[in-house]
Amino acid sequence: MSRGAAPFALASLALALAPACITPSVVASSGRSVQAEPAALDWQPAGPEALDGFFESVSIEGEAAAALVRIYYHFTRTGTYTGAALVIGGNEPEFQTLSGQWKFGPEGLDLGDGVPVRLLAAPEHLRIESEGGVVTLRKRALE
Amino acid sequence: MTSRFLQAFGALALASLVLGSVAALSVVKSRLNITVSEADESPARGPDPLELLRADVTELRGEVGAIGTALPEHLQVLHQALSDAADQRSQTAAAELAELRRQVNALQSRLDASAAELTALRTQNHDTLTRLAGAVNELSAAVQSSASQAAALANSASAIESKPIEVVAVEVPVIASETPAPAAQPVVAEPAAAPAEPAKKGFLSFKVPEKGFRFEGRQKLGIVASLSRVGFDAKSTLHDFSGVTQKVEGELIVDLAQPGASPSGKLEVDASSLDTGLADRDEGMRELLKTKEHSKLVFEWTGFEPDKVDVAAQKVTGKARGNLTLRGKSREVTLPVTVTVDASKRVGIEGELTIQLTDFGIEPPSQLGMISVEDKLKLWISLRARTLGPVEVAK
Repeated sequence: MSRGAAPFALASLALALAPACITPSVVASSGRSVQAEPAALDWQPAGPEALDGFFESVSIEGEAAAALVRIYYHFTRTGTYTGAALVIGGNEPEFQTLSGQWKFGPEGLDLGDGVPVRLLAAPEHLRIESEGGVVTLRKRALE
Repeated sequence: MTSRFLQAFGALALASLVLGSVAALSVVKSRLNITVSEADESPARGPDPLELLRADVTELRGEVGAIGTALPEHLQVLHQALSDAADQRSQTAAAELAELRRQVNALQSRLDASAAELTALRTQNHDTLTRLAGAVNELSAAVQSSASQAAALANSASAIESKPIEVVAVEVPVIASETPAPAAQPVVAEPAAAPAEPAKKGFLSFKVPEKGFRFEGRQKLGIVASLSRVGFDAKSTLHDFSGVTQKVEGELIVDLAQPGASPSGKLEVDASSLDTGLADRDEGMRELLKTKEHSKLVFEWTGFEPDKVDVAAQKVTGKARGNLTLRGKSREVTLPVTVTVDASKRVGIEGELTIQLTDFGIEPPSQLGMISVEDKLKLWISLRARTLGPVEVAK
């Protein structure tokens, strides 16, 4: 073998062996969809101590999800809260805002409408379950 | 002195008054004679009341007799007058009834014509259908009213004249304004009068429009880019790979319960954002697709052939037809898809098709003559769309 032929042979060998070294990067058909749900969290029943800070929805499920795009809440330990929701379904999308007082009783969290809802918590997350749907909220920093 | 004189004079005057009164009483008593006796039964000297009464009775008897004699004649006259009036009233009623019959027949003809027109237009224009149905119903009400009038008139005439008057029975079909469209002609019935503001219900203290997601009914769907992905799978002699992007946008108009009924829409994918995981390969792909000149990969949806529509399960399978444009060249393609609705009431659209790059004027890339990409490429979509509200049927 001449000196000039050696590099070509090595390059050819490398190219020939390359497919065996590089793993395929094909997206599996089962993995094509974007997972809307947050990663599985260890939800636990929560008490009033969980209601503190600013939260943004990461998923909304149920009938309400057809009209609610995003929900924001800010809770204080003193029992007040304010919220905003981007609502579609009317002529144009609109933000609804509300403020009030939350109460926590044996039946769950009451945001002032007299309809207790179930509150669950996971690290940095809240989950509010009501008859109309389920909202998963992630805690955000007030920047 | 004077005082005594006055007292003596007063006493004297009083005594004189008393004595005078006693004397007058005695005189009157002697001359007054009161006699009490029974009524005198002797005949009265004036005209005898009984005779007068008898005379009156006799006179009245004569008058009653005259009245009795004249009464049959008068009754006959009255009977004749009543008969004449009844005849005249009957003739008038008959004329009015004939006129009403004519009107009813005219209305019936118009009703039949309207019903025929309604049937012809039923599938062409829903608004026209609704208006026509309203007009027909008004017409029906008018016919009913006229028929009622005719019946009342007939009853009135019958009461005057014993001979019964025949009334034309009118069958008035009432046509519902929401007439179902034939299955073969998928016209979607829109609400006749949608409320300006939809009713709202509460959710976590927010007011949510009552009219939420509906599987049935023509509606506009907006692609949710953050939950959507479009990609391709390519085979090469080196290894297989995929290119993926979430930069997809577009809107679709479809009745999911009748997806074959004139769906439309457009999807646009940012061609330069396709990511294969290797920067050099991405750069080569952008050059190949000439993304500076043709920044979008476009799919224009023109039709749908449903294989199965399960309204209860909210699932549709079928083939979406449309024009796919790559690097500025369009070809008609058929994309098998599955449509579902997730827990968040978003519409999921999954599908894939195989294309040949050369059909779009694209030569499969090749390096050193040894590493080449196959001409066949699998395109796939995984979209999430949110309903943007109902859409009226195109006129």
